[in-house]
Amino acid sequence: MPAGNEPARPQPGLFIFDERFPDAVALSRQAILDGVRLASTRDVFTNLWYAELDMGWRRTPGIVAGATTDRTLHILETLALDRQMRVTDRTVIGGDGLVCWTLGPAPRHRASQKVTGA
Amino acid sequence: MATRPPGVSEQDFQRALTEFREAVGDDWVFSSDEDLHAYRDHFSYIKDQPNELIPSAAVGPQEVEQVQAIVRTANRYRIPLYAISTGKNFAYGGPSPNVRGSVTVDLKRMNRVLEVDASRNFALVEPGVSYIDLYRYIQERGLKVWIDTPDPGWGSPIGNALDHGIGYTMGFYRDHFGAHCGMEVVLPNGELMRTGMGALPASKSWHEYRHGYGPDPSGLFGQGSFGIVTKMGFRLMPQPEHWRNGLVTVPRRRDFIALVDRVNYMTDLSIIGEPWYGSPLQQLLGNTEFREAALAFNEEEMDRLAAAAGLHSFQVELQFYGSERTTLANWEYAQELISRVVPGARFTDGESLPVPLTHEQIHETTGPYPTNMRRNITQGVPGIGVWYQTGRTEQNPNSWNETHIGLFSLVGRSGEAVFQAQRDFADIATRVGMPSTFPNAIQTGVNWYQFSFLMGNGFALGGAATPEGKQRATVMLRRILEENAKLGYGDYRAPPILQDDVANQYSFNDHALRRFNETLKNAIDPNGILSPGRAGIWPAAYGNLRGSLRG
Repeated sequence: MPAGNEPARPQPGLFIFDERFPDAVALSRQAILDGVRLASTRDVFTNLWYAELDMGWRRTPGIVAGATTDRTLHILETLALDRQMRVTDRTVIGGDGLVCWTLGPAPRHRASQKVTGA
Repeated sequence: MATRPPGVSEQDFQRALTEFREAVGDDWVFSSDEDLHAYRDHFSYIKDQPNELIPSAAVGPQEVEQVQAIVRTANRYRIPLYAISTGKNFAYGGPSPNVRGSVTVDLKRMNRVLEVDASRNFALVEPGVSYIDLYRYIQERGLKVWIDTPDPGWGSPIGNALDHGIGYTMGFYRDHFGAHCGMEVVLPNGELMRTGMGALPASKSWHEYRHGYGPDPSGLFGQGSFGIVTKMGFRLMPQPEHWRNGLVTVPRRRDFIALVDRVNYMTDLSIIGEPWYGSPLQQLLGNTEFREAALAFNEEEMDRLAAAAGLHSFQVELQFYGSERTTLANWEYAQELISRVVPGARFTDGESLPVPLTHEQIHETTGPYPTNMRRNITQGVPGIGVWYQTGRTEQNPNSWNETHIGLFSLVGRSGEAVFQAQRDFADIATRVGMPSTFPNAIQTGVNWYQFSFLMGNGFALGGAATPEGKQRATVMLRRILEENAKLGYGDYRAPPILQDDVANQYSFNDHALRRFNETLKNAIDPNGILSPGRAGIWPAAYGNLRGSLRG
């Protein structure tokens, strides 16, 4: 829940977490409680990309959040740029390379999404 | 960060942007810092420096006619353009242009697979199609053809082929430019041209006979600045029924010469796919005695220590495509051929699997012997995992490798040539003040290109995290390129900051090749608008920028 007057953040459609990190697993449990769908990785996520994200982002560049290594984020960010998406939030958690992040449509494409109702 | 094309007034630049918007729509012309972030080379040695090669804008056409309109506008206002397909040529500059302030022509919206023929074995694609896209198209239709993918496979067949990229299956297909067949190009004046049989309007064999009639200019578009390729045909490998691999090791250092000779023989008879060379002696790098012997190229001592450790000196992993019986016959034949010339060679059976491999088989990392071979790419299955080796972006700054530059020199495809290169590269590293700490004596060539080896110089660019460190490293790389060239080693590909340096080494007869290319460039592109400076080819309009990145 947003505190005080803080505006509510849009809910991600998917939460990607690296199952090797207890902190990431804990965040995934919170995401479940918020009704967010989960996808787990162990760093390499070619299959997740191929089976879900690639096609999904082509149809509708939605909001995705995650708790992964910065290496995974780097690749996701690079792929997201192709779909006019950007990293909108990034927080380093601890010193073991775990990063909590959010990816979403770039501003101008957020606007065009509204128009198309996508 | 905002910049403008060199020599273009703000008024003309804005007019050009307006015309670009009229051509492609408001949503597909980008000029804000946030949007242009996607078009920076995040691995560049000059990132965040005043001379960083950033574009002034980017424009994303979806149709060939839009590309033509963009080129005509660029001519009108003398705007330098830099075309990219998916912009993932990382290690070689990524999406960044050669001239700061160029307008990037981002072709990723031209992403149609136009045809795949699984009987005649070819594909016709647009530049925004990635290897992953093409693979998906083939899989969804159950077609029995393979792509030959680089690693990672998020780039495009057209972009990769045009920069002379490589893959990992059978020899012919590994040379991605060599395996192209026919292209469509928007020329610098906005005209549309087709090469090969595509020049014959009613042709039915555009992707089967590449030469057409008369001189074939296709090569000008590889690492070139003579046009924007909007369609390209590629030969595809028919899906084999079976895949098998096996490991060969040879005991003594000098056995490598005969090993390479026999592997070449099998490669050029199309018996084997890409051979993966290596050295089991990597296991001895922690042994001070061995390390010193290897750094000194003391071959007798290396052989003695290898034998004492029960290790062989070199290895090659072979892969066979065909039926179960033919792959077995070819593996047995390989053993016979090598045994004839290398006493004591050892052979270890690898996997023997029907194709297509299952998901689990493709991602299986254990096997009868340790291997560095990434199985997916031997099966033409694109992945993105290898990119974990590196990474740094604006939002993701905690890099484990500060920069990432690819430099590989062409080396003759023989054991002797590899041994000579090992010594030459070690000597060069010492001469430029960075003596190698990794024993070059156990480095092998990579056989990405069927008819040659590529080898890296093998040195560590430590301390490249700061701008000063990057500058020092760049100076070092330039010295290495110069020293390499003196001994006959030239690079096949380079990032923009080193393209002038590499091109400068190809200097036979007072740079006759470069002068020829620039004569053509000035005739075909008199305003010099298409990728000026690419591969060291500077049109007269931008000739003052040659070498400008050397500082």
